[in-house]
Amino acid sequence: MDRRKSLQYISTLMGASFISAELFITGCKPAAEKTDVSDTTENINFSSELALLSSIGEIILPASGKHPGFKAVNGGEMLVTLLNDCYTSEQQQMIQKGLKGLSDGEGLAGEIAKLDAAYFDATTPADQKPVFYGALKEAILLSYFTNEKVMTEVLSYVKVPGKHDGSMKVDPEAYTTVYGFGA
Amino acid sequence: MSDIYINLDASKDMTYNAIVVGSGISGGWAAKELTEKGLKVLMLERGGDYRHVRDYNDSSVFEREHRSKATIAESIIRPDIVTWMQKEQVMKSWVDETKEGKYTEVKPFKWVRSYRLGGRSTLWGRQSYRWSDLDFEANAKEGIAVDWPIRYKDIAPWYDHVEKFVGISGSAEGLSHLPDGQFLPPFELNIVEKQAQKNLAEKLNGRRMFIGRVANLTKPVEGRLNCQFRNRCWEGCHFGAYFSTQSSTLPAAAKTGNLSLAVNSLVTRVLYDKDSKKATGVEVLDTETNQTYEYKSKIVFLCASALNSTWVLMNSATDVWEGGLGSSSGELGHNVMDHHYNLLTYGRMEGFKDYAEFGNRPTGIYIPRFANVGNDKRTAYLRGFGYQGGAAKADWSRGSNMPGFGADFLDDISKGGDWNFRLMAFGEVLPDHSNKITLDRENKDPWGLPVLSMDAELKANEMAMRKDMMEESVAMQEAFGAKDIIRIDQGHDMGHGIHEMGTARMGRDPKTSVLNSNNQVWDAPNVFVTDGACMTSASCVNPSLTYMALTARAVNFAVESLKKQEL
Repeated sequence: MDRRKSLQYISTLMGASFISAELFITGCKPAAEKTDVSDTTENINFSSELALLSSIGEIILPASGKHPGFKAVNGGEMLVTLLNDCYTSEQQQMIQKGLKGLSDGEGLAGEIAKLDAAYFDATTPADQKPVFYGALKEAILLSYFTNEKVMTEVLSYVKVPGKHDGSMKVDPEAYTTVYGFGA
Repeated sequence: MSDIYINLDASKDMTYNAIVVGSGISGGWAAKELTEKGLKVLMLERGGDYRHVRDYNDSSVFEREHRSKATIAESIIRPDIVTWMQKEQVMKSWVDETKEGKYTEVKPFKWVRSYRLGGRSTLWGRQSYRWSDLDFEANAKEGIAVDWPIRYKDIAPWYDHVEKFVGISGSAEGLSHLPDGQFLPPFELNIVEKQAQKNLAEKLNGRRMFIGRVANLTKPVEGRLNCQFRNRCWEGCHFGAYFSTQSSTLPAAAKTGNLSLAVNSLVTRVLYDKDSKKATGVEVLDTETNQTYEYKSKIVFLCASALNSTWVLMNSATDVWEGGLGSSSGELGHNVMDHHYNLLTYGRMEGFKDYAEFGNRPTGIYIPRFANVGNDKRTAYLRGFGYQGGAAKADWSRGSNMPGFGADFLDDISKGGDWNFRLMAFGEVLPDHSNKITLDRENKDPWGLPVLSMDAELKANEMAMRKDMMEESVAMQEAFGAKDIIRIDQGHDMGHGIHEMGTARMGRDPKTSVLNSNNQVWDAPNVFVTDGACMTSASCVNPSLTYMALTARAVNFAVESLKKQEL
């Protein structure tokens, strides 16, 4: 499967809210596809987009009474590192092109709302979906929720659980421990 | 673990009672059993040192530069490493093709290699099941390939032997085609899996599902602690809670004082003496200095992983047999097998919002084979398949696939989501002569040695089986009570199951098999092959426990034969 087809493949799965991150976390690449070793294009450095990326992150994951916001946990710096190092040049170009259509300012929240709606609208044709936004949203969530402060203070990370309880009664409204992640 | 047993300058001592090639699951067992029986053993590992505890990763995800996400730079030099294997903290465990060489793909193949001390014993899935006569009799009953030269009764005592040492947690289920073993207490199903287990049995005529049997301790044993529920086995377990060469067989072998071990030692060939028709030792290439050495021994155990053990044979005694040692049958390199997978279903389990799971269990559920078992007859294909998987509560990562943003969105995904059931099928691959590996003499590895050429694929039987694997998976999700069932079939390149088997099969006749019933090479009886290469068929059941049992059995035979001066 070539990468363009694989992006379509992933986008057809989008909207299925319960799929585990494993299918998506490898950078829009389905499991069976080998890493493309022929991709030798120069990588893009997203440092110059730090302010815009931080603002997008804050719109998606804003500070509230219950949470620090994306900016407060330096999510933008983490996001830049991920985009610089963990995406193929083809994926980077796609994200860069998408970012070019956005500017950091008052209208940004409205633009994000449009992108989010278009991306998750089942009637949007696959080739017209803003795939860059889906990739960005995933990387923003990863940057934020794997932050030390978020993991240990907002959620309840336990490094060595020491025991297992598969039938633990919880308040469904309570924030959850990030089990299953980190392995 | 001390440094004492690691004799990195093994070249001073060139003669041993036995040489073990490879330090993974099979090599570790060979070394343990041989040294405990009093033989002076040299274990050779082509990769570098990787020491218990000292070299393990203990970082939390937030301490990692890329938060567990593999970089592109690390990925492009390891094109076979995908999905769960592709994590920042384990990338360096896998073979870097720019350093170790590529292989040739006549047909698409994935060869997931780890070249370092302990091999893939530090990276395995730890699922441990006995094979049965459903497996050992299948070839003969169906007229496929050749008959296994052993039956369950021949290997059962050796399953007992290895299980007692390894520490397998599991539940006794009384199934004749997935025999019970020497179990530690089982891990526990979670609340959703318990409900699904009940529903499955009710809706599908008593179909069985139970907790996966794994080589993770639920009780401490000597020198090892029980599992602490981190589920970070692949990064190395400081507690020694899962079975690996490092945690288990290597310390046992070292304790005897009979073990020497050399790393960075690539075995290039078995030395064969035409007059005695036996091996005299092995030739070793020091991968750091490029110098070659010859080590002598009475017996050689090839445990270099299925395809590499066959590679060594193909490079050996080529002055006698053009195709190498063991090629006189015409079967060396043939009958490549694997377990075909990459076939998943997900289903959403309603209710249970007020339940969560604490701790990371190192195993999931297992659904044993039911197709073509007993009165169940499938007309479209031979053999069968099993399932692994389990139920888990969705975490924040579900937010990537959900519309929305802002404070309410953040609040929502910080809470636990729905429970989802995941089923992954593992199917049997039939032995087929046309599925083969050969030496590619045109393409060389960094040491100038010929690389392997892979020419193997799924055939009609597997493709027909895959359709049924998906239909049954969906039917079981429905029986669980799951909603919004999603099917994913990504296809399967041979090797991707990381259960590569065959290429030097056991058999009853030197004309049609490479090894006899005691894993001896017919053409050189003091050479034993006890890793995945020896398998005559593939079952649908995870194979590592069977490699361990066959290795211990072969060692026992070898040592008894040495005592009787028959080798």
